[in-house]
Amino acid sequence: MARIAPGNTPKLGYFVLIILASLFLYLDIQYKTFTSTKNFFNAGLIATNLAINNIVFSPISNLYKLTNNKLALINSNELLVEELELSKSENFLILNKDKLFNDNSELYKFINNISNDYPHEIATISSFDTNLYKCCDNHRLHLFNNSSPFKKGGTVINSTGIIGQISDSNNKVSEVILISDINHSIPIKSNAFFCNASGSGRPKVLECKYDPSLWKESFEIGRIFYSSGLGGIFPEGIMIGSIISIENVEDGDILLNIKSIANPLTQKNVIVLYPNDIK
Amino acid sequence: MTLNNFIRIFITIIFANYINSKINFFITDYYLNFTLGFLVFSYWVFTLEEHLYALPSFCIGLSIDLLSGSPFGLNALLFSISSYIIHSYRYSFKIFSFLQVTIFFAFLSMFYLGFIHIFMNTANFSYLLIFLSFFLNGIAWIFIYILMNRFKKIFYK
Repeated sequence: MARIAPGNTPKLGYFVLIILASLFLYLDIQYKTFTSTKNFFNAGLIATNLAINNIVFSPISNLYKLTNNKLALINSNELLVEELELSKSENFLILNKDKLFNDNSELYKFINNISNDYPHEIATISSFDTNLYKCCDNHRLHLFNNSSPFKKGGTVINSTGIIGQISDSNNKVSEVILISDINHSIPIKSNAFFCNASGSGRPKVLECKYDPSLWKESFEIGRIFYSSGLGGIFPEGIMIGSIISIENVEDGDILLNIKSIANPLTQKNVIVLYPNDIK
Repeated sequence: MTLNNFIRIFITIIFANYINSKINFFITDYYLNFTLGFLVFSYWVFTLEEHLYALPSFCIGLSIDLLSGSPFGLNALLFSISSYIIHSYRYSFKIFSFLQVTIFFAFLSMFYLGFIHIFMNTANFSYLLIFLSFFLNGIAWIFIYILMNRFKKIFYK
């Protein structure tokens, strides 16, 4: 590489702005100072997108459909698809009853109690940065709020299983932290073994680390894990996923990599479940 | 630089960043990542006679931070540093061949990607992804240079 030739680049401006950017970065990572600013901006962006879609793109697309004499058919088709998706989400527990629970008595107990113990709301995903989901540690998505913002801690499920938890809300949208996010953990169990599965930062993969001198349990690939319900946030007995690999890590601990059955990329509508003490 | 020209530059970078996020969703599984937004920004810094100095670089970086959901200040910092490095080599580039310039920008985008992944993908940082993306972004630079030259001739006044 050639030597740097002398130029008239203003160094002071660069110096000041690089220090300022570093300060912003430090404050955001260390103290989450700009989280509310980012959420406010996201909410504005989503609302603008929605408004532009409704005012500009929807009429154009409707006009096109009208000229093809298929408007009614397409509308009813869209409605049916939406209804189907909603009903898929609402019937999540029933559709998956064979897979979800260890035995049927727990399932029936849960279904009978769901209206009392776990009030639920239907929600629609407003934005999901799938690139960040694939590339990076932080896995988040946003939901449009219903009449009121979703409460922090609510469990978010779709027809494939538990996908995450409400982590933040403002007037327009609520943020969901997915179970694969590096900062999330969910209590899980398999027979008599309990652990807190942390997100790995890889899509659909959770990690469960334990000390083999404390737990004598032996594991094999494909072993299924369920939510344990400890902590009272997540409902008990919902299937989380199965072991895809077992690793020996530092200090003699064992790391179980668990692939979640829930896929946040499949549906636009989700259900938010609350335990009684949250809502 | 006029405001209109700045807006044109800004739109091209945001558009490239948008395309980038759409493509990366599919290629991340193969340990590849484009940095199209950054390469378009580098193109403008490299070719503009009015010079894209510290403040515009900082503002563009902050906007991308807001739009892409990355930690606030990360792109602002990297864009400012990159702008400084490119300006420092401004006269050296005149004796560089196009291949050397391509390798320079491939390296620069590799470092950019590396820093982005250090902050945003710490637990799953992959050297293979950074290494393979060096070649991918080198090739991407050639196409961006050709395309943006055409764009500049038509739209930039």
